[in-house]
Amino acid sequence: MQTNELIQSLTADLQPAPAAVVPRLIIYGTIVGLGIALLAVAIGYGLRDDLNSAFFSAPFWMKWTYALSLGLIAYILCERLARPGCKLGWQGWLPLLPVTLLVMLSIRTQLALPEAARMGTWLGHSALYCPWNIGLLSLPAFAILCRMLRRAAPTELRTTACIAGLLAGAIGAFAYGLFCREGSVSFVTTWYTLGMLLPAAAGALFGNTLLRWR
Amino acid sequence: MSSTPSTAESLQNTELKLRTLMLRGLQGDAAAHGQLLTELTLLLRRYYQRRLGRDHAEVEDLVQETLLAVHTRRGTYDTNLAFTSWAYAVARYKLIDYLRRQRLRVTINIDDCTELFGVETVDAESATRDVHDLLAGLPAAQRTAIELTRIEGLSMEEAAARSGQSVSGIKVGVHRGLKKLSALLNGSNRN
Repeated sequence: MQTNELIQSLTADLQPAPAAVVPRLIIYGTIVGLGIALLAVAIGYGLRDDLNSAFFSAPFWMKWTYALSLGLIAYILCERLARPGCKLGWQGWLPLLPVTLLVMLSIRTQLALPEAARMGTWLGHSALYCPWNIGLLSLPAFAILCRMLRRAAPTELRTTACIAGLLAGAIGAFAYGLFCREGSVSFVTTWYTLGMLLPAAAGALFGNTLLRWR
Repeated sequence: MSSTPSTAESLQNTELKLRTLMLRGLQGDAAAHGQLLTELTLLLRRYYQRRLGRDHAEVEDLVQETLLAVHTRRGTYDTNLAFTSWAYAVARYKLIDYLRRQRLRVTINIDDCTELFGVETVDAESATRDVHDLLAGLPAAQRTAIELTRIEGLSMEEAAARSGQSVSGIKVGVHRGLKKLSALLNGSNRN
């Protein structure tokens, strides 16, 4: 086809562009991904049976605050990365803020413990499964977010997929908080973070394939 | 030197003009959108020609692909930012994507040639066998000297200690042995 013919066919019957395309795509992916993760926790793992009392406890809200803050940061970054030519700059370091805060808090609480109790508090009783469970729960969100982002126009594919993975990881961690009974800061800092890093690492490694659009 | 301010000025003019067209196109102004794509066609053609060569067959395809992307993904343009950097990023993405596709195609071609890989292994094996056959034609002292220093990778001193020869004996052995080997090889090539 001639280029001017192409232009004619593109401009014939032009509609106004829909507003806020990028936020809508990412929010849609987030909601669907979160819905699947919540269902999977409720059906596959089972909600923790002390949820009524735990809902008003500090450890429960520590997990959710951590997941929500990382998720919010990842969303904001993702929304920018989905657009051509948007570089992150210093804002790319923002995800480290909640992580650093929690690392500092866990060092403080660990040091306050008697030495014999430190290892047990850090490992809890599910350190071995926790990261994998979070990674697994974030998988649907990650897949849907990648699909949505391919409909936007990211140009830094690895970075974008990494941040989308972080958003998916936060979704997985948020859902997993409804099942997980672990209560120590050091546990959440280590194993939740590792779990959220799984999809982020997958994004950084395979972003060029996952987010390629034509 | 005097061209710098005028270049910056023309860039700014381009930005202003294209951005206005883009904003009107986003609201559904077909004429503005058409004019934007037409202006972009010239810029894109020059961009791809400069990078792929003037008469490269893919230039026009890339121009059209980019125009299509600018059209279908115009909703991703953040109206608070510069339009030219948005369009440039799309053009650059399409170029990188094209180059990556080319590389992939080349990789697939190499993968298809399994025969080449097989032949290579056989060659390596027969080469090893040939070396041993050739070495067998040398006097024992020279053969040991070469095997220890050139094949096993020992130093002259280590080879001397291992074989019970003197260091200078090893050196002479390697030297004469290699000379003889090359004579043998040349002879076998002539035959």
